[in-house]
Amino acid sequence: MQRSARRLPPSGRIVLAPIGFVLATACLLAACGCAGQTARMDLDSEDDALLGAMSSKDFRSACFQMAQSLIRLPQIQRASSPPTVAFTEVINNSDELLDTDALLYKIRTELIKNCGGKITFLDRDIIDQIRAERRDKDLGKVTASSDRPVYGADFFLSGRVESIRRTRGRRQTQYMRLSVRLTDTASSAIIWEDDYELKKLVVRGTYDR
Amino acid sequence: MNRRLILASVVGVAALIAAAGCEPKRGRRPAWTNPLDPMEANLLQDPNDIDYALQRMEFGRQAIRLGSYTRAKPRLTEAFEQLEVEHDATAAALSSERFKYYKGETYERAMLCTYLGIIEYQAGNYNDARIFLSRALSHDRGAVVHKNTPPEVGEDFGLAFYWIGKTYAKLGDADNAGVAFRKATTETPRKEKDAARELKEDRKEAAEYQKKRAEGEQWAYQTFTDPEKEDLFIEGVVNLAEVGGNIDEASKTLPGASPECPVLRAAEKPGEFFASAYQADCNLILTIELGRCPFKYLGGIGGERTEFGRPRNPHAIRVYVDGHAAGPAFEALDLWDQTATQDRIDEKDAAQTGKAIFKEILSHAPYAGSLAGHWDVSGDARHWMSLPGKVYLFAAKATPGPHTVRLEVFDVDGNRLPRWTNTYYGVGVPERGEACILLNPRFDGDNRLPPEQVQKAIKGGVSPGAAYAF
Repeated sequence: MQRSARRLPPSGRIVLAPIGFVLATACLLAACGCAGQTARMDLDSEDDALLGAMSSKDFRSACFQMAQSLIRLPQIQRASSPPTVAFTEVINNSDELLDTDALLYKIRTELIKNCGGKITFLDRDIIDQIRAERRDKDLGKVTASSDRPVYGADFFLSGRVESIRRTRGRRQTQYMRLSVRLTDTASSAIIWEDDYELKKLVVRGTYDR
Repeated sequence: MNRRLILASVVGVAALIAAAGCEPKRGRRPAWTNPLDPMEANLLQDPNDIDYALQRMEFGRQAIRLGSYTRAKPRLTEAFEQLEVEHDATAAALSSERFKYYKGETYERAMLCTYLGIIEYQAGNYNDARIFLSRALSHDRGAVVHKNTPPEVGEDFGLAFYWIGKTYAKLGDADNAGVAFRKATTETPRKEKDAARELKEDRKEAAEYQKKRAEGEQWAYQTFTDPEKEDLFIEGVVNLAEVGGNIDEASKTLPGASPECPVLRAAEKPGEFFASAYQADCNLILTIELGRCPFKYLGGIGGERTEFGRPRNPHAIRVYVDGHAAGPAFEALDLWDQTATQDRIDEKDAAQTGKAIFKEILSHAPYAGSLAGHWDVSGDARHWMSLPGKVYLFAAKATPGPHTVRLEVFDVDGNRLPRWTNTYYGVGVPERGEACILLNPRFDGDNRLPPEQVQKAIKGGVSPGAAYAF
């Protein structure tokens, strides 16, 4: 005898249909979240998911602003010969872990790109290698194409980063200030200083703790 | 199917399995394996995993406890980096809170940053130490949510203030160092009735414990020093029922003390201890972590509310160096005070309560009622379990060389807890600079038994690994 097909009563179908829809949607959502992805981003886009005071956009903006401000200095524009500038350090007095060398190198790159030859930059990072090379040239161990002196610095470029962080519950404000200055190596006078400030408000999620 | 073929297959598979087990012996197993190795090997690798940061906090703490700061630092740093990353909390909002990305309570985040700060300080990276300790203080301030909460609640993380004071001193910032040391003495403002109730409970438990301790120690001494019971006799057992005393009567020297007292300068009062000039003179700094941290449990109508439980911890420590009294260790942090004064997040509590009420209503609805039973709206009982309950600080000026440091521990009434005495040998004080050492005194720290004596103890009726009252 053939068994008759069993069918759910109408009430059961009414309950199960939306449940099936919910389950299918949940599976689809779960599947969408499974795969990772890599994509190029614009250098100046905000890193929204990553909290923190300084983003790459701030970093680039700060360095560009400093470089533009320094190049317009009258002591640079009106100098009879390009003044020499050596980089010392950027002191991190903030509460963020920052690569201060990266800040300094980016400022240097922006200056070199935009100064139009009006400033001579000294590479003190490899001064020991330069001195060793000069000794070898003097001793005739390697060829010497010309006899130029090692330049002394007319100015030192240095900087400082400071921050203030205020917290109350889920809300936090982060203020950061990057200042850069040019100091005359003969007189110790600060002939130029500029700063870049930023302030951000961070509101943590309800389930953050 | 052919029966012979089936039998042949079974025999063949069995032979394969047997052969797989016949590997040549690789030699003796090592006498000791680093317990951090399997723990590190099992750490979650996906930074988006909800327990990624918590696992690293636990690993870091174990590494620090074993003195391996170089292994602790990278894992704690990985956890630190996740504190500032936004993670999706949809699952936690719709279901159980335990599906949220765990970043810790405010005091857990502050402890994470403090450990990193101490590691950097000990490595001489004072600016990085300052950064981490500043972040610890910033996380502590997150405990203040409501406008009528005293601001001192967010300025009472004494341990971080002390270490940032030491750091500022190293960086040559005397003003900030002085401010930080003063702030290290900030007492957590507790509601009077809560503090009074807890003190009363502690005193009652301390009295009960002392009574039981006396009975238990007497029983232990009689059981294990009877020469007629050879199978239970343990040589050298001390009757700890006769060892006690009060903190105010603590002896100035212990039996076997060195002829000369190695402590050249020590503080007896907090005002003297938390002072820049005194700290600058010290060359032996001990951070002493004691007891158990607060625990979490689920409360509310459906377990949707995360509640905090108070552990019982010892109350005071006195330090001896080479048998000479060197003064008290000063309490810098009580994690229960941090827990009890941390404001709750009202929005989260409201969301959790809302889910629980809706679930309750749904459970009475036709058809949907059975589904409601499967809807998990529970809170989150995860926490950083290996944190200490209290942290004490001891700093003194001592003669250079190796020393024996002994910690004697006392309860809330000042009665000594002999099983909490811990002795550390070979604590080195350098000719120049300072020795910064983290100590984790344990219950029965000086009473470790070798395996054969453990067997005797179990046979005699002792419960191994029984939880201590304090």
